[in-house]
Order: sequence, then C-alpha cells, then structure tokens
Amino acid sequence: MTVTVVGTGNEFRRDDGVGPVVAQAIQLRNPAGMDVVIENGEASTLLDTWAGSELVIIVDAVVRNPSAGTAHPGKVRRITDRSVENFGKLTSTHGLGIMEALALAAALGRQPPHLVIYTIEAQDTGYGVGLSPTVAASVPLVVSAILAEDPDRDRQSPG
Amino acid sequence: MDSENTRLTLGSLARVEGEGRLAFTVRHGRVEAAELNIYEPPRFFESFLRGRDFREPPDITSRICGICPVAYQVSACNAIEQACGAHLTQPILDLRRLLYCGEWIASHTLHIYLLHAPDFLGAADAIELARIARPEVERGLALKKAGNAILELIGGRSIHPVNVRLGGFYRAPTPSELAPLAEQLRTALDDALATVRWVSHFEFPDAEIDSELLALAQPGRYAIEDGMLTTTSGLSFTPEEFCDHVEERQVSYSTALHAHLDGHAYLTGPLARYSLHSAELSDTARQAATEAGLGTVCRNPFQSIVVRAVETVFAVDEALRLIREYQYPNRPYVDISPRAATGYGVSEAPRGMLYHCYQLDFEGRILRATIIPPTSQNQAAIENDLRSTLSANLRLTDTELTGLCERTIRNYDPCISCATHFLDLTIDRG
Repeated sequence: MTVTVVGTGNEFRRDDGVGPVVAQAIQLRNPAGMDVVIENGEASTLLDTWAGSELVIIVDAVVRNPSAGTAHPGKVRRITDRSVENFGKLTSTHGLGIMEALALAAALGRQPPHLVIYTIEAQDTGYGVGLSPTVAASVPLVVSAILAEDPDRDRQSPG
Repeated sequence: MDSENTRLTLGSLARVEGEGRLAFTVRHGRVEAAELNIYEPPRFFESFLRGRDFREPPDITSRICGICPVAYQVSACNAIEQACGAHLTQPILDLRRLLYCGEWIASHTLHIYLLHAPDFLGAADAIELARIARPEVERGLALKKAGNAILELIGGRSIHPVNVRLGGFYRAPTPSELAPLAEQLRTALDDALATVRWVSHFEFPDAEIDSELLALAQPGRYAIEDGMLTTTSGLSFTPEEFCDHVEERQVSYSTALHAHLDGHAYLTGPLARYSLHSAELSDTARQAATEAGLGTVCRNPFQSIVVRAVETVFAVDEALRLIREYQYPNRPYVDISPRAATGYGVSEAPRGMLYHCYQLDFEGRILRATIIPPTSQNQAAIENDLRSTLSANLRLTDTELTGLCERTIRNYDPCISCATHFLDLTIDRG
C-alpha cells in the first residue's frame, strides 16, 4: 500500500506550523512505504500530491470555532468521516484549502481510497516561528499514531 | 486523543491569509463612500528585513505569497543585483524568465478555472463547477500542473521555490532534463488554446474602467521578469523613478496602503499589460486573442479572464521557446559582492507589477526595504470600480449586491497576502 502523509500549515504562524513539524518528524524516521510531503494545502496541488496513493493522511492545525464550546489547545482528533457537512464554505477569493480539495476530488472522482485527517487544535496562530508548549507536546502523540496507521484499521470508504 | 462526536467546523482553519470588509454609504440614491477595508494587520516584512543579509530577501519575501513567490524572488533579486552592480549572463536571465512563465501558467490557471469561471457559469464555487463542467476543470488542473512542473524543475519545488539565489540559481537544469518538460508543455499549449476558446464564449457584462494603466515594457517582447514602467498616459520611467510618480498613502479605514500614480488611482495587471503591449505577444497568443474577439486594448474587467487565458497561451509558448533555445550556463549564477547602494527592482507578478527597493550598507546589511505589491497598487482602482458598480445597481438587494461586489473584486485576482475571505458587506442606505 502507498501511504502519503501531508503536513500542511504555515510555520511562520506559530501553531499553524504543527502539520509541517509532524511531517518533518516522520520524515526523519524514514518509514518504509510512506511518502511524506509538506504542502501549503492548495487544492489542485493536493490532488496531484495524493494521486496514486492508497491511504492519505493529512495533518493540520485547526482553530476551534468560538461558538463550539471550550477550547482545548493541543487536542488531537483523528477524523475519517468526510461527509460534506464537514466541508467549510468556500469563502476565499483566492486560495482553496484542504476541505475544498477533498470536495473537488469527490466531484472529479479523484478521492484517495482511504483518508485520515489528524487535526491539532492551535493555541497561538500569531506571527512568528515555534509551537506553543501545549501544541508541541502533542507532536509525539500524532507522530506515533501516524506511524501506527494500519491499512486494515477502520477507515471509511469514499462516498 | 479522542474520536468523540464533537462537531468541528473545518472552515475555521488556522491558515488565515487575510480578511476584508466592504462598506458603502448611500445617501439620497447616491453612493457617497465605498471603502474596502483590509483589516489584516500589516505583515511587517519591510521591518524585519532591516539588518538582514543582502542575500536573504529572495527567500524571505517569497513567503509573502504562496501563489506568486517567484514574483517576490525576482523583484528582490533585480533590486539587490542592481544595487550591487551585477550583470547576469543571458542564459541565467532566460532561465529566470522560464521559471516566471511557470508561475504565470499556474497562477492564471488557478484563477481562471477554480476562482473566476464559476462566476460566469452560475456555479457557487469550483466544486460545483467541477460537477457541471468536469472535463473543463480536469483540463484546467492539467494545465496548472504543467506550470507547477516548470516551477519544480527550475525552482526546486512548486511552492516557495528554493533554487533561486542572488545572481541566478544554485543549479541549472541540463538540456536532457528539460526535454520531458517540453513534451508536457506541448500538450499544455493545446489546453491553453482551448481555455481561451472556452472563456471567450462567457457572457460579459458591459463595463469599462477608465483608470490609468501601468505595465512594464521590454524591447521586442512581452515584459515579465523586468522592464521599464509605462503608462497609458504616455509616461515611461525607470524603476529608480517609480517613487517619484507613485505615492503610498495610509487610509483611515484600512491597514493596507493605497498607491497613487501622480495623484490618481491606477491599475496594473493583465488588462494593463495587454492594453499597453499586446503587440509584443507571440504570434500564437495574438491569434488566440483575435479569435476570442479581443481588440488590441481591453478595459472590461470581466474580460480579464480572457486576457489571463491569452497570457497563459503566451507563457506556455514562451516557455517552449526558452527551452528550445536553452543554453546550459557554464555557471548557474554570477558572484555578487555587496556595496553601499540602493537598488530598485520590478517584475510582472501574474496579478500586477511588483516593486522592491533595498538600501544596503557596505557589508551588505539591509538598512531599508520597501515592497509595493500589486494589490496595494490596484486597491484604489478596485474601489472606484466598486463605487460605479454599486451606483448602477442600487435597486438590487443587499444579498445580490454582495455577490456582484465579490465578482467585481475577483475580476482583479487580488493577492492572497492582502485579500481575503470576502466579503462582509455593509450598506448604509441612510
């Protein structure tokens, strides 16, 4: 099975850089059968990045919607549900992100057979480099979870 | 870690590139004010470049934009190389132009297919467009991929290329590495021509912008990576003279600066380049423009999608020419020694002219940096366009007006660094 790990985010916006940090940590371990890439999350590039991969694992920071309750910086979630309800509304005049990439892939029949998204809740997305301690503490957890991703684990098929 | 049933709104991704708000004041049926408020804080690049080494700006400033990093690299190189009195060899200059063609192809195609075309075909967004026009969207993605292939081969990677350095490149591709790229570009040329035909059949509202237009000019060719500044009022001046003509002003309602040319709003970008210099396009691109019904001048902002498509044909055609005539450089860069001087650099980013200026000390430390991006130059002209669009459509509901204003703004392909998750529209009807 070909596995592609995509770390996305902006390392100059503090915790938004957690995706690339996780990707780099995995790259260092050079796991067999796993391609690791760092992308800015632009939709059309992502479609090409995961072309031919059986399993795509995306790692990204999220900011919790204030209306969704208490914030839990550093909280890691593993998401396999890609129902359209989870897709954000397209609001940018310019860029298209990961959720748009997944929706576009669905419309074009170019979804990866298996998809897992790891999100890490950000604490600080201000200007500058370096993760906040809370978010940095989550990195080893995500790295080992990704390295342990088993092809037979419960994954939802496309659709 | 948990997998509990927490509902996440993944639209709230952390990568916030900008926010915008548009406020109109209407009194007695007349638009009194149209204020495009960019409320993202300033990005401080000019400040944190101070004290840095003269070799760093190409890499640092490329981070300003994920869509047009090459523009930032090239304008930065042009400015610092001029300050240091460097002269690049023709093969290196050609390679720089080839890299830039890759960015034009990728950026224009992204805007045409995924951001602008949905406006003309009644689709809410690119995803809906992919459902109703799948073959066309697939063609667009293939075309964009060809642009990315140039960026990857010449620049080292497609986002924020790493192979660019002051004086040239760390490594130049061998002719045999370019051969498969040429193969991909020949197919891309067909796709680019098909794109012009496709967009030329869209329905374009009547509109004409009367702003002055500003674009670079290079003798005997369509300017991309350098040039003199030229305008529709007949001005022609060097990058050194840019700030004699263009003044950046702070406006009270926005953190983005507004630029004015000799006191007036002006426009840079595809419409300006085409209207001033369409005669310099390649034969294939000019023929495609003629078949699409474009004259030698185009001032309808809605038709900017056609001009972008024509420029994409040109960029593919030009990339093929540069590969055909490629001379493998003996050295991929020229050595550059710092000196105490000020340098000025310009180039044509896909969405408009990008100006950089650096003042260096004798050791090559940066004393002062000025960067004027295209969207900042265009913002006053965009506001003028919004004002007249609104004046002509006051009978529409606020929701309809929001859609129309978003379309109006998308016509200008504003840069990701200062534009925004549109659009929070406020209309004060008195």
